[in-house]
Amino acid sequence: MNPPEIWTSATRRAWLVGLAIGVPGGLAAGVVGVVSGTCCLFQFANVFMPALAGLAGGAIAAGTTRWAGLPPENATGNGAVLGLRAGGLAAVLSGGGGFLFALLVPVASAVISAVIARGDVVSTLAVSVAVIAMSVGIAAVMSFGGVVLGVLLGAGGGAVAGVMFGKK
Amino acid sequence: MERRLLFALGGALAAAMTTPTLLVGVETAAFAAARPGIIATVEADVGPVCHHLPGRTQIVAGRPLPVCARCVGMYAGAAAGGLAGIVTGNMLSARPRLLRRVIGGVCVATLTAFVAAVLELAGVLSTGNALRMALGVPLGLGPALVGGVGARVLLAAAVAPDTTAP
Repeated sequence: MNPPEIWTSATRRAWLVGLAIGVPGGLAAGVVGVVSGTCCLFQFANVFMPALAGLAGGAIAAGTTRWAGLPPENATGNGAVLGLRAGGLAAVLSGGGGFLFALLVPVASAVISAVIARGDVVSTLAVSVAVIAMSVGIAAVMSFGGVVLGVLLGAGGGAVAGVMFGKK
Repeated sequence: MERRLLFALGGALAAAMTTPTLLVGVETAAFAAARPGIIATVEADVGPVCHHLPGRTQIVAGRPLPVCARCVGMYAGAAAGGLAGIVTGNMLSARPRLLRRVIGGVCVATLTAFVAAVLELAGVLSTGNALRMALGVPLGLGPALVGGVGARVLLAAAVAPDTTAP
């Protein structure tokens, strides 16, 4: 495998693809964090988005390398490495987005509880800390697993796309 | 450095893609042996994700399966796809045209199953448990197959001779 060309237009496009697919993935993961237990589809989306991002990033990188007239080995290598970056970014955004999204609800509920329990400082603080701590814990566990698996699948998807579109 | 990274990623991905095969094997054996304790232990990590609705759970030999029909299909697909990807990865990566057809077909099947599931969630489509289980298979098989083949490609790239011109 040849080393990848750093920050070519293909790299930028791979990052953009990772962003474009990672942000909706983050929202899907956020829904998992908030309404976990309602549907196995969200579990699927959290894994599928990084794999798709990896495939797309790898395909674009490998394709543009070939259009530039570089040998297939370069296309395969670039596809694998850039697909890894796109898939990894999608996975981090997916898991991180889910984590942040899952934080919004406990913070909002803490603010609401503070408004409702106006004047009772101790109970407001206790409720806020308990709600936020519990939700952060749940979101962290779910997001971490998704990020690890997502990064791996993004790398795999990029490598596959590198072979698919890098060789004739 | 890059080779080490590729090797580590490939190894971890291969391990991740074979885990569903092992877990589904353990669960199937536990179900056949009527050992619900083992199933409950294996399901402990995914329990909150599956809704476990009795009406959407397949009954086999008079007993409900541990997860809903679509999840059963997804797990079976993930177990089969990961194993198939790792076994056939080297052969497929040597034939890019065949690889394009296989991955393209798998992507179409996975997206079709996903759209069907979303339509059912929205109340537009209604299917039985057997069809739900069948539609769940591509959802697990697609990403797992890509992961399995990708693991073999990454491992092969990590040990391949350097072709960079001096």
